[in-house]
Amino acid sequence: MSDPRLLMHPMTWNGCFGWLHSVEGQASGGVAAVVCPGIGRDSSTGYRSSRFLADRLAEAGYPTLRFSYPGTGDSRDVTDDECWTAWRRSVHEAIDTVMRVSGASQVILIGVRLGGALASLAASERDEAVGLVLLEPVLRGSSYVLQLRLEERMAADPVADARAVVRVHGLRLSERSLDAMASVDLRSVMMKQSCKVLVLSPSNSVILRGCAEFWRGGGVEVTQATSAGMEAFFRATHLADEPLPDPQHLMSWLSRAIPPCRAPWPAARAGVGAAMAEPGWVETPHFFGAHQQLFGLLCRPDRPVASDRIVIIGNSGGDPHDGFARFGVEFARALARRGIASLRIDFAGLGDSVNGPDDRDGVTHTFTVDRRDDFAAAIDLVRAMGFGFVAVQGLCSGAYHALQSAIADPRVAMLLCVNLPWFNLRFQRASPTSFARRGMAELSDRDARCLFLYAEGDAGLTALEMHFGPSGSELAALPGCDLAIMPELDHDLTRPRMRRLVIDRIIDFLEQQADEDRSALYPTITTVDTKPGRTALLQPAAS
Amino acid sequence: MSIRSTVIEQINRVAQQQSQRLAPLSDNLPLLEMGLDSLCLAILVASLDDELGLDPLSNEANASFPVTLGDFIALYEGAAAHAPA
Repeated sequence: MSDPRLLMHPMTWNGCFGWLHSVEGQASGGVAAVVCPGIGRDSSTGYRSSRFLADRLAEAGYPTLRFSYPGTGDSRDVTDDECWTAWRRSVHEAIDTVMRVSGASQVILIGVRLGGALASLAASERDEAVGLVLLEPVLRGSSYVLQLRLEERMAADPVADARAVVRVHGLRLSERSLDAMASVDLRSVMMKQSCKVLVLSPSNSVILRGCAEFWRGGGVEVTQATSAGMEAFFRATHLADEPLPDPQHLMSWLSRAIPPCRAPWPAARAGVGAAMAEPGWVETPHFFGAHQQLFGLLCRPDRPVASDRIVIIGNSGGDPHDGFARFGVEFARALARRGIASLRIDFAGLGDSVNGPDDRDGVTHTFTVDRRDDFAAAIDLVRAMGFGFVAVQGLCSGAYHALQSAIADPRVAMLLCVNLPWFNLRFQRASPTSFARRGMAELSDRDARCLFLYAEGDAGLTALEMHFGPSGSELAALPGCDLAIMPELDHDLTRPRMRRLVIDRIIDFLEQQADEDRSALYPTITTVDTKPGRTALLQPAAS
Repeated sequence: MSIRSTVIEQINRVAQQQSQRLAPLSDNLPLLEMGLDSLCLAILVASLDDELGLDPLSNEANASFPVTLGDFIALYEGAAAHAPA
């Protein structure tokens, strides 16, 4: 059972979005921690594990900040050239922020994969860094750049973007950024003697031995151990029913090497905001659900718009709410620029949402756990804000859960499915009374609009064609339904161009619907509750 | 440990970490049928760069990717033979 006073506090600073984990009422803060995540796929696979680790650190007395670098996760967008320098700068800003809000005078940096290289570079420059924990770190930027370039080569986009050399996992990196990253070699980056180092790695490679010898030669205390127990950081996100990490080794080392130091919280902590805005959009974090256990980011146009429309975006597989290759963020901000609000949510147990008041293991399942209640709670939230026209959207398993929500909840006016794998989990033969047939008939009868987009050759076409004929023609013929099988897509929308196509198609569908309903008078939603507050995620709601 | 053993060990490690199921490994096995997707192959190459200090693929940036596992191992063995002592 977690400490019931454990808090997760959303924060923004200098265009970065992050979370402060702390324990309510606990006088602590002498030593704080910053979790520097990996990027791209490493960021998604490690997201839930980082949340879990941050909770354990906070419980142990280390207020902990985890965050997304600029251009990643929910943080601001950046140009291709900016990435590496912006990421390096953001680690320093995260250190400054956690020290400011917690009152800590010392900090421990915890870096995962490329985050390990970024944390090491920052630690080498900061006297306040007393600890550095590296989890399967990238030790040489050139190795990592090699990996990115190979991924790019093997999934080459025929429509090249000349400025961004590498475009993988939602990242756009210019030659300049890649060169800067490739120039990093931790075997020549000396840590300060006051900074104790723990390296958790599956093997003691030539390069790792070189780093450890170099640092020890400079008088730095270096401990090496295997990364056993931390596999969850690197596990495919859809395996959300497998155990979260066991950070026992890390926690034991910390308690011995850098014990927590109790100090009072500073008053400045209350002044930290959590909203973020750039031209075209404003984002605010919101908690919802019976125990405030669920989390979502509301993204609105940055100007008053006469529209009460909102799209609720569910998780794809086990990826957090920013989506595979950051699709959720790109989609939400594109919608806002076209005057449409969205709420990108995490289902219970995924991303930044927890299962309930006593959730400790964080285990869930991407398909078999019913998400209708999660969507219903999100609809309660947006209806309370004044949004009347609710669309639900999902990709793959997210599409499956959006479909279930749309059928079950008459408040859903629009369903937006991308690569829906199947209509129900239990196999059913095609018949007029199948769940797929009955469900779609019900949506059509109540005038819900439905858009189904599929990649050509997608596995989901099997279920579509079984229930609705070749190319799903009988589904497309239902009133209010539109369907497209697009040869340009793949299942995950891997490439930027695929994501743009899907976003444009969905926005066209939404705007077409608005044109058809031109006679309706939409209220202008100009004020919503944007108070981020300090929310006790694990605290049961008052009865 | 030989180059071959290190390559095989890293293939198994990456497959385990990324929850990928490997086909029985043999020299004639096409790399793309080994059971590792493109992300895993990229991670494998980066891991071998760290393990062995060898980066034969980026040295031949315009060369095509090796076709079989045997070709892949031979590429690293060749790079090791020509690496400065």
